Amino acid sequence: MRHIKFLGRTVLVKDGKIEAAFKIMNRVLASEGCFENFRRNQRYEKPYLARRRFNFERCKAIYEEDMARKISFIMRKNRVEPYPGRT
Amino acid sequence: MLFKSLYFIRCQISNNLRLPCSLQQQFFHTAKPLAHKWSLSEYRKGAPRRDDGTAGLPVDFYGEKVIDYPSVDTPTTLFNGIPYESLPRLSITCTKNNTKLSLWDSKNTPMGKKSCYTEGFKGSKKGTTVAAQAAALAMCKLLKLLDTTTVKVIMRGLGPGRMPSIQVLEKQGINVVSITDTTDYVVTKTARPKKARRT
Repeated sequence: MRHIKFLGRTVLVKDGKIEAAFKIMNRVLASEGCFENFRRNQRYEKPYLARRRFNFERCKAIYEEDMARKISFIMRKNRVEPYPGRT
Repeated sequence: MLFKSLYFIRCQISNNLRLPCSLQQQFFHTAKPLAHKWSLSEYRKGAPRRDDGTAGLPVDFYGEKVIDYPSVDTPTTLFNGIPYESLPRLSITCTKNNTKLSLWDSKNTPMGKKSCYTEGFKGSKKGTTVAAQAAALAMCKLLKLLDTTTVKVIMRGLGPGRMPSIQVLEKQGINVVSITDTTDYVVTKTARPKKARRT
């Protein structure tokens, strides 16, 4: 394509479902952390606050990984589903 | 042949002598023994490839299949008899205090502009969803007047008019081919942003 802006962050709409396509695009952008990045860049973040945030994020990632493992360990089961098709 | 004969001998031993399993394995190795020479390059060859994140998530992950991603053939594909590249583009700029819609030709000639102000909203009323709806409605009327209802939409910025303007386009029956997001999520300009607000 001649214009590079149509290469990334573009979705082609199917069957005139504009709103649904737009919502999916927003979901993709949110999962990439674009909105969060945008909101953070609206105001200047001082270096000491940035450092603090990085450390907090690191700690949170480690904690979440551990907790997910623990939960999956506790919730493990090896039996037939008593009420199939419940949810 | 060798492996077969070895296996046969092993079976005989286990039947007659009834040795413990670990002892049997010590006597005969039917598989290749472990390499004693250990090197980092050899180890790296066997390691799984590092994921650089280019593969991404499948489309199915995001629920309904209502979107398609652009491909190599997209600029030449026809939409309502017009190739994608020469379609008029409708750029929607959503800011905190305003929503602006402008229609452009494929040759970068402006065809029409609408904003919340042109619809009679002034001051802080411009930064509302109702004002955005009114502006989008006016733009839809203009599109129908110019008979260019097949457009590609370019969204820019996060604001209150982001969602309502799209909803109006759908309700008015505009044939939107694609939606592009061109917001600067990663700030590349050298100017330092405003000072943080006091809390």
